[in-house]
Amino acid sequence: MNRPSPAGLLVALAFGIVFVVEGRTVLGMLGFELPLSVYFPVAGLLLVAMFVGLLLLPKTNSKQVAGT
Amino acid sequence: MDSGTESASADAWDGEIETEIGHDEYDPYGTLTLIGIYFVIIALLWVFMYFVEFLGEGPTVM
Amino acid sequence: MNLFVDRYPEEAWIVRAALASSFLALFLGGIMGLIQGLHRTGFLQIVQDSTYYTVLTLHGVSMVLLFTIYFLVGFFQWAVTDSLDRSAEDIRFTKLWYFLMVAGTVMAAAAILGGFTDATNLEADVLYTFYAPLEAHPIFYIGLVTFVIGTWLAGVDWFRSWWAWKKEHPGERTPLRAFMVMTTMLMWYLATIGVAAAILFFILPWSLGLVDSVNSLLTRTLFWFFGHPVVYFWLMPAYMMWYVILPKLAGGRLFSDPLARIVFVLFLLLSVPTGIHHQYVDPGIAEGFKFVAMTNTMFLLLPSLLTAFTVVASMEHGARQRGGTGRLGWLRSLPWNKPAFTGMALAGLMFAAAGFSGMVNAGMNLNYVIHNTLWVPGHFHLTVGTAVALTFMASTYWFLPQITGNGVFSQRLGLVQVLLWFLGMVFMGNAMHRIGLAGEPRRTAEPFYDGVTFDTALGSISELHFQIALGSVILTVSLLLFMAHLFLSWFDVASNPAPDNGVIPEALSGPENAPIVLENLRLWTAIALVLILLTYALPLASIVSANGFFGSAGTLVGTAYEFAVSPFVGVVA
Repeated sequence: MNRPSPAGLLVALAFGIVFVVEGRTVLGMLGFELPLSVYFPVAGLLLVAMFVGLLLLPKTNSKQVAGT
Repeated sequence: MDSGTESASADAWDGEIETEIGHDEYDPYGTLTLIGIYFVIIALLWVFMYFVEFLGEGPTVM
Repeated sequence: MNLFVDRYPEEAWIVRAALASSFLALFLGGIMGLIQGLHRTGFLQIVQDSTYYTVLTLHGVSMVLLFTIYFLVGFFQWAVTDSLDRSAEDIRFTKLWYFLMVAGTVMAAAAILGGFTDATNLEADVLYTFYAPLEAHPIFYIGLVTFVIGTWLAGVDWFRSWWAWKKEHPGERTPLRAFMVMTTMLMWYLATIGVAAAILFFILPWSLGLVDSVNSLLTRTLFWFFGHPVVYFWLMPAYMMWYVILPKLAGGRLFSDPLARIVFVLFLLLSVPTGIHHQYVDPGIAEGFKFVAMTNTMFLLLPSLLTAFTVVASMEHGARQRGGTGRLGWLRSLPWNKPAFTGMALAGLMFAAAGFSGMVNAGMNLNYVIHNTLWVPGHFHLTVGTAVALTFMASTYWFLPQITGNGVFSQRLGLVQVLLWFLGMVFMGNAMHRIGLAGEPRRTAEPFYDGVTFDTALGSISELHFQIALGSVILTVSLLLFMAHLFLSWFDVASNPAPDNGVIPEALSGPENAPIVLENLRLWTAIALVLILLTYALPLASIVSANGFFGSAGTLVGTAYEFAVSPFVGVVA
């Protein structure tokens, strides 16, 4: 897997934030209600870690330009 | 990302098509997958709704 | 040159004028939205509680009538002229309907803006749902009627083009875009019968003092006769963009032209006889009539599900042509770096979520849970506020060069803008739905009352209020970015050349595969009329016979007499 383009990273970030926000709702539905002060630091750190991981990936070959 | 930003080409038909796919050789199984996921989500939400609406046994609004 | 602006400069002028009016309304409405979002959550209250309703009216009317309708008339003008490849029959007539709409807008806006000051007696704090008993200054209603007449004449203009085209092309199938415009306008003619009757026969005479009272249930019912199908008047142009522009942007072709036509015919048939589903809790309408409206509404899910399939399949076709593979891997091969594509795709995704909350609204039993709560604004901020608005904004990144001849300023800035809108609406839409489930009412400046607490199923109400405020701030940032970007592109600050890409690729399954009966718009309109009669004749008769045309109880015959005579009595007296 190669590193997504800046556009791909932006789209991924937007979806990441959505999943973090809605993740708490889904957990609540399933009966795990976490306090804000616990959930958001943990989820935020996970998001940052994922992002750093994406940035560590090798850059896309010059061939594939479009999309992610 | 060398395409896009400031170039004149604003859509993918300008030189980004690798293979033309005609009517007969196109099989949209990716669409089937996505729509399937949507139906599963909707079905689960309806099940969830059953718990909210009927098992709560709260007073009716009317 | 292949650009629309070079081939049809005069029509392009009208399109540009309509779009400029549209975005002005969007900007104004957006600022009002921010004021509301911060006011009702208590974070920042810069207006009086009583002024909140002026703000709310301005927000509603600007967004759902002005922004959407100005944009779609511009877009339809392009669609008709470009797809039939012929100039307007008479450009003076085209200008006439545009300026009629502007004249109507100025009158209605003057009435609404008058609500901000005590210096005039102009006032129209009646919200976008302007039925009785709320009463506005007559100029508001006259303005609305003028605006709607402008849209009627626009439809006449396009029908004239279509008829002239048919004469020159006997036996040929109508091009898809023109077909979509015609079906949408037919639906609009049927839908606006309700609002025209409500205003001209009842609300305007009452506001002018010609009659003493109105039957408010009757005006409500006539309003919703129009008030629900109007959402399809916004949605059908958005669908048209998904069918026509989105596949091209994705690098593919529309999957099926006949399926797209069937969807639009279904909307023509089913859009209008559904309005009573807004009135599930209205006393005075029998449950059975409500049930019929619910059934029609549920049938309306069908064209939307057909659209979901066709549009996703068309996008997948583009992805595969660009080398995408796998069951879900093809999603990575879509042109996510293009704001026009990304914005429309995200708008479609939000619409899938909105479809679910819409089913809850439409179900008679579930509707009681959420009726008149913040859930409902949550729902329509996903539909008109995202599916339609984000599609319109995103398509502008492709559409603007066609009508101005200038390239857009920056694709990447555009991408940030559409992503911010998506993000802001996720926060706001999600929170509004959940607050609504807790029972907090809509249309109120101060949702808190002594002794009333709202219990959320999970999370706290203050946390959800924060999400609304945050969402509305993000949306405003996105809106300001859009306006700035629009300005820079429109006046060609970066001197970017316009891409020469106005050609829409042919559908995979072309119009020749569609049943010929789809072309028979008279037939579909007739069936639509029958469905409307079946749904509305008995409820309207029962409302009138119970309480008369103007509010006092009487028989149907007695009130018909009163209906014909009392306005004149008012004039004489």
